[in-house]
Amino acid sequence: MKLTHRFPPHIRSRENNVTVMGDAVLALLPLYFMACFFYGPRAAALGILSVLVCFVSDLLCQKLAGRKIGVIDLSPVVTGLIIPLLLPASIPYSIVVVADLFAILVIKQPFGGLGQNIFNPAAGGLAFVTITWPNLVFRYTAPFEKLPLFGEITARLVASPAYQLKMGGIPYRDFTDMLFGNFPGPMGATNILVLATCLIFLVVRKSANGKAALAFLGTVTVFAFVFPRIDGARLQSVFYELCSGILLFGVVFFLNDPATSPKREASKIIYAAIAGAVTMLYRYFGGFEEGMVFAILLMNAFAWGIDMCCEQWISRERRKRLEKKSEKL
Amino acid sequence: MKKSLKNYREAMSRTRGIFAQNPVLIGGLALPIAIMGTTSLMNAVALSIAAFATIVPLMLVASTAGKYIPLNLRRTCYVLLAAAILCGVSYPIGKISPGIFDSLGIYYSLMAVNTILLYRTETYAHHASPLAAVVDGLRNSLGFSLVICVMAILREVVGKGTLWGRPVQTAIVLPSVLLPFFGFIFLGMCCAGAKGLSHLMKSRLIRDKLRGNMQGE
Repeated sequence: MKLTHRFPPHIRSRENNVTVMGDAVLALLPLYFMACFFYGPRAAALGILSVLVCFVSDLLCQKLAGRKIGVIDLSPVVTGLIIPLLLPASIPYSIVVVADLFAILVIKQPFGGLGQNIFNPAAGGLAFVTITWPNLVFRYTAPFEKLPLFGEITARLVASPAYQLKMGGIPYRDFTDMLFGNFPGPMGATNILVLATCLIFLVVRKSANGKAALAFLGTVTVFAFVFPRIDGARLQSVFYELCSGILLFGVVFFLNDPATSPKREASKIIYAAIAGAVTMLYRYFGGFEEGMVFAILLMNAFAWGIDMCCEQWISRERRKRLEKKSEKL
Repeated sequence: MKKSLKNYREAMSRTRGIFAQNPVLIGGLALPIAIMGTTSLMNAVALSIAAFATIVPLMLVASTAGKYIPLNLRRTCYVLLAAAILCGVSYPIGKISPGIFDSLGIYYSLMAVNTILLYRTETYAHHASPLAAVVDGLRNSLGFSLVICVMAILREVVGKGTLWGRPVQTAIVLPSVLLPFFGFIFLGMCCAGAKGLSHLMKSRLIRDKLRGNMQGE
């Protein structure tokens, strides 16, 4: 038996890098199960390929930087699992590989690897692919369509509800179909109920911040209610805005990224609220039907500023309170 | 081993502006031109010609006549002269391709106020002899053209699948490489590469020197 000597305080928290990332992996796996249910084995193949590419490129970069590779954290696995879930199931394998390589080699490792990256790697890779091949990224196959593992995809490609909203129409999907994810869209971002369960799981495990998620969703709700894109149907507009695109997926996995979001609770809430407004502005005035990845990248750049402002504000408030106390004495 | 260090320093001072102290990669000058003008090799070559044509004569002017111009008028004079030269040079540059000025846009005219020109004339040419100033101008324009030509070749082949307008066999074509954001990323990577290379050379030299000292003892 090996005994190690440690000085107090003995913190018995279970949290470290591996557990936080492990929670994210656990939350992502049911989404893969649903994707396989809707689109067949091609979804799983995309995920496995993406994880392999991310993991190997991350390892090579760490080796190149001369870092000791002892503890293997799961962050490249999380990046690799997120990227295919936000792309259609009919996407060619090469595009997923390009997104992975861009995420790891350009967004993550040049800044110093895990914990030092300014931008969310998965969001960066997806943004690059979106700008490069918008025709392929925003055309989806209908659910329950048989997709071959290899070769040309001959299935019919259709537009998603987000596109119909962008064009000023009303999505013809009904309430239950939207909740169960039975509508064309990104592979893993359509299952609203599963995503809500993932969010609750992560909040209970304290890997995600529930208040920030509520702030984001609240801003989006208010925005959609005050400026509805479906004329005369405010509640319907709110429902479709919340369920279409990658909005809920982004709330669960991008907004609570421990490396790129602000650190304080108050600043997290402000960050989430502004991110919600920016996402809606991208949807209303942007060139693409879904701009959440761009909104997240933009907000990542301002995370330190929000943190600093909140820090100053809180310390000023605390000083005022102390002065009042001393006056009373 | 002392001799090798001396040789290294001499080589560095001789290539100042080309490899050591490159105006774009180390100095961070003329960034908008290096990013926006490198979408094709034709653009880069046109900008290189413009750089040679403006920087070299103006270094000569600054080192000879710079003392006689009042301080607050100097930069204005240089910029006006550079603009006049650019007007003349636009005739041979137009022969490269008919649409060259459309694809260059504002960035051809911006060469008149390009930061390499202003920086080198202010900091170096006023104190140097005319010959040294001209050589410095040549080195800096060569360094600038090398960087933008290499960047343009890579971006054109990957982004358009062509080189000098002719199609080239490539594995994958990424149109977004031509957008400005990738220019920034790519230039940053080039800067990091240049810095890493010089660091490697220096560290190797110091190691050699230390080893030599030990053997001497």
